[in-house]
Amino acid sequence: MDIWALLIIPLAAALIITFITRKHAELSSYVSVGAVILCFLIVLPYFLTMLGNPHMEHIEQSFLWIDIPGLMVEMGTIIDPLSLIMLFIVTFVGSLIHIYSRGYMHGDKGYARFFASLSLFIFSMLGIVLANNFIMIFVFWELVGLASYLLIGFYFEKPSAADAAKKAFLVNRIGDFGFILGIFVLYYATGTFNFVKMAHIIQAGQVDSGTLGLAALLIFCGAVGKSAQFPLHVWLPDAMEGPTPVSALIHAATMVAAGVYMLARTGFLYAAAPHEAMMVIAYIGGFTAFMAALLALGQNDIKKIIAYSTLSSLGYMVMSVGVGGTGAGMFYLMTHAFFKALLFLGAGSVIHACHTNNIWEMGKLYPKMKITGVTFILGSLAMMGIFPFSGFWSKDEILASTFFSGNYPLFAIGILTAMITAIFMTKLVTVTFFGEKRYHGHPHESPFGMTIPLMVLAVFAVFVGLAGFPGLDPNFGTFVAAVAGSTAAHAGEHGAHAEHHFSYFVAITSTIAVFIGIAIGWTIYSKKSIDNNAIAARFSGFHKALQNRLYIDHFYDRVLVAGIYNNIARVFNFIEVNIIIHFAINGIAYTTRQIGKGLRLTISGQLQHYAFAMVGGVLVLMVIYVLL
Amino acid sequence: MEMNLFRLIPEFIMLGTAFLLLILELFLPKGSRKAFGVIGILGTVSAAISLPYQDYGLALAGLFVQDQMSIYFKWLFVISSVFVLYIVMLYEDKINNWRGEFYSIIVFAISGMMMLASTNDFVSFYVSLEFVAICLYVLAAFLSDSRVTSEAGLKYLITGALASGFLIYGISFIYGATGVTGFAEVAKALQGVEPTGFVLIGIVLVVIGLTFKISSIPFHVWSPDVYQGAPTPVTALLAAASKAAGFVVILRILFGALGPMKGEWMAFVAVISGITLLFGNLAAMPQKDLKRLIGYAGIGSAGYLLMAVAAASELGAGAIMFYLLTYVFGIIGTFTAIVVFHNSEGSDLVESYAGLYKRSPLLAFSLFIGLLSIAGFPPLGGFIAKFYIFMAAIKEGLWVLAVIGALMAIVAMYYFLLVIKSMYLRQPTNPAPIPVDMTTTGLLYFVNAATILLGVYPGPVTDLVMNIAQGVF
Repeated sequence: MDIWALLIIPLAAALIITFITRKHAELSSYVSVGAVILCFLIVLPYFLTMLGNPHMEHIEQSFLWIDIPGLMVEMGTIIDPLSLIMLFIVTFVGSLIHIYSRGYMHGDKGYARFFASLSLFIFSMLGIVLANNFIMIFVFWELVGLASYLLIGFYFEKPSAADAAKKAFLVNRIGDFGFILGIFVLYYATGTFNFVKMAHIIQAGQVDSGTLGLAALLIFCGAVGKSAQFPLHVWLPDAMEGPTPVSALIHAATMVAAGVYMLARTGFLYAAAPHEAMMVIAYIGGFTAFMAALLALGQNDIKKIIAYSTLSSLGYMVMSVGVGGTGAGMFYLMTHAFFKALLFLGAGSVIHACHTNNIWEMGKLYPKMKITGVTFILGSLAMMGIFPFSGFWSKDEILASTFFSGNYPLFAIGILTAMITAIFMTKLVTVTFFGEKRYHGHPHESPFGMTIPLMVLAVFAVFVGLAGFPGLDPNFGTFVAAVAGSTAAHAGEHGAHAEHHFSYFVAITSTIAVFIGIAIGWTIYSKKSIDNNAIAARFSGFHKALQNRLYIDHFYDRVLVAGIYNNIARVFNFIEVNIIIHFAINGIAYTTRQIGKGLRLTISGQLQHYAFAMVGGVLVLMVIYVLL
Repeated sequence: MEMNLFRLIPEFIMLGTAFLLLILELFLPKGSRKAFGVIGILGTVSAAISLPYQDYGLALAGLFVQDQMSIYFKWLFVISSVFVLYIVMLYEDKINNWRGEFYSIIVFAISGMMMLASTNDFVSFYVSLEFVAICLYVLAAFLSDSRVTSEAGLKYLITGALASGFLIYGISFIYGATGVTGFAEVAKALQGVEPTGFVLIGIVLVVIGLTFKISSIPFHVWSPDVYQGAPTPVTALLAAASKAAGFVVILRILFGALGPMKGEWMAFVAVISGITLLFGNLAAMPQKDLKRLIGYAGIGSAGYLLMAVAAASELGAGAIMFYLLTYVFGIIGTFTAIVVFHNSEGSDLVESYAGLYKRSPLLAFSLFIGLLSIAGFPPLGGFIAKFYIFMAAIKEGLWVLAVIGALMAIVAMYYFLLVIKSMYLRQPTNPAPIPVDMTTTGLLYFVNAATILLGVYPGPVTDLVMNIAQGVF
């Protein structure tokens, strides 16, 4: 039963704060922080046991939720290495970020509301991780979207925050449209929602590959929304309107990774899906990684830079799943959770000190903020993937999976992305912490409540990659290969093959690329032997396109939203004005006068019109009926 | 000729209550208007108490039938009735030239709906239907000094009369083809025979005539105007109880009497469902008035319910019953909040709900739960209901409808999110709190709890509706 407590505790915390302790800010934060730490303590023994026994059997606990002839849905949890790794990340990083938030949000008038939403988020996220079937994962998937909505819109005094919240929610719904249809297709084909049962049926070859390909792509739509892949990536940068700890927890470390987790959880489907479907996924991931890295180059807002780097990382993970390296993707997810949470919290610390997001209004912060500075640099090194930091190992596994699966164009994109990442991370670090002093006021180091989580995360950001050290046995690959015996192990021969091999060629190539990137970044932003304004001027068209997010948002706003929504609005406005107002209101006014005079009712234009419309509709339907 | 009048006791209690209210109108002083509401509610509760003691069987020589399904729907009606009467008590100050009939006619309408749930014959069906319809025409136009309301009532009357014409015409064709009017007899007569032209015309006309009550195309035109213009409690009655009444009739007639001909109407209903889904949801997008918005959304809901009708299976019948229960709760919660808000602010515009979260967390939460449930957001009751309908449709291979339905679910989320965004992520223009009295608070908590419970623990109700659905064909 203690597994169910993982869901009950954070939900109870959210309810307690909402209904009881709302007025007491301090107490509310303790309830929320206590709840997530309690969850972490419940997860920890399971996690440690799993480390000792990577080939553990999965444990399912479930009860029937709907049980009627022809439709059976259960609510259930699954505990296996995959879910335990994710539970560990969510509760551990979650605990640190909760603690950090107590300092960061201090004095905010929505303090209690913030922690209630945070607990609601933890509840929903743990539901996704624990779910043993598609309906449950979908339910919590939506709840996570709701929690994210509340948190992005937290500073709702700013209209931009409210709009960003709405955008995130609706863009995710578009992805979920595919997701739910995919679930229906799979249910239709297999007759169950349960992952394990479904895996057996699919592995037994009872579903034809066309259906599997369709289902795989539809389910993938859900991940495209939640993990912000092209073309639904537009919500994530806007989501940075939320408080910084939220960006760290939800829009970097956990929720956006839920898409990748879901792909790993349903790995049995992707292992059996046709090659073409997998290539679609791999190339969407690769393209997102590359595009987002380019976009990050054009940003000057510290959170936006990290947000685009997150997009890029998510693209990396999805690409890895696409080429069959699900284990590598999960490994990257784990290391990414630590270093990206660290970067965001470091950025929060900087913002806290400087009261601006623009890196060009910072500079030379290092002497003022040593702890933030050191941990931020460590996080950046991990993000760039420099030996022996965590990002090196995980990025290397993804690149190796890509290379050994024979997808050389994707491998090239991966290397190129690594280089661009190094450029903008170098820019971020040098402009923010070194160079000339451009800040105003007197920035000072954040309180311990905020710096301690930074230090803990930094330790993990540096060392957690060693879990993937090839000389180690069992290493991370072993755990994930054991995932329900179904994902990585079956992820195509190439993928499984690649995950157990460390390649000097891949490691050296990527390291060279990263150092080239650092050199370029250094030359432009620190040594300034190349003037970055000159580059911007030289490639002004491209530069402008980058600053405008490659015009993708413009395209959506102007063409899709304006085109579709406004036209719908126009059509119905037309109906409203011309038919309702003209015929109905005026007609009625006329009619009532006529009634008042005791005159004939039926001569009113409005009534004739209505009757005509309905009879017309009936005739059309009759025709349809005959044609059917 | 077995009369078995005792099987109509719930209806008699409601009718008695309605007449009592009419008579009391003459004696009670003007200041005791609220007493009418209390008497109406007490009458409804007495009818509810009689429901569990009903035994199953025919009444009035087979014109009516009492079975599990009729009891289920009568529960929906008494729940709606209690809440609608309560909302009238909150609302009645708005009725300037107030008359006691307002309560009385609502109780009459509910008793008519109860009869509809029990109809077992085209004749009793048509009489009950008209009985309900006439009550609703009067109610929709009750604020006779309001032009918008008069307009709404008139529109409702004209469309209703037209639809009624199609319906009776269709029934006459079916009678002509089979020579009987009892649902069971019609089904028997149609069993295993090749459909003749008469039967087919009859089916088409009956299906079209029935679309009025559930506000699907082509007889949907009344609903946005009436939802917006009618007194708010009447809108709630139309949205919750009247729609449920429409669908119990569809279950009785399409699944019951015309069940053997289901091959002839499934595709037709599917087409109506698809167009209704598209029209209702897309048209809801640009709406600014919350009641009108719910009117369009209600057309969309009819589309979803018709999707389950088109599935023409036991799963579909169960889905309809489950959906209607969650829908009744969603509508009741939403409209109670709307009435309280309107009493305080005098507006139904979505923008006037700005910052409601700060002014009355309970009202905002009730609207939040109610609207999200109608939109089908997990884990609320409406999600299970919609999911149930999708499963029924997919089992019968209605993939096109499923895709349209899933797409329109996003659209629904869009327009309801506008309301939620206004309530939660906007600053109030006037920060004064909106008071909610104790009884209303309790009722809202009850409705919200029911909506959540139906989503979190649907088991008992899904078992019940599937049990009922087994006898539907």
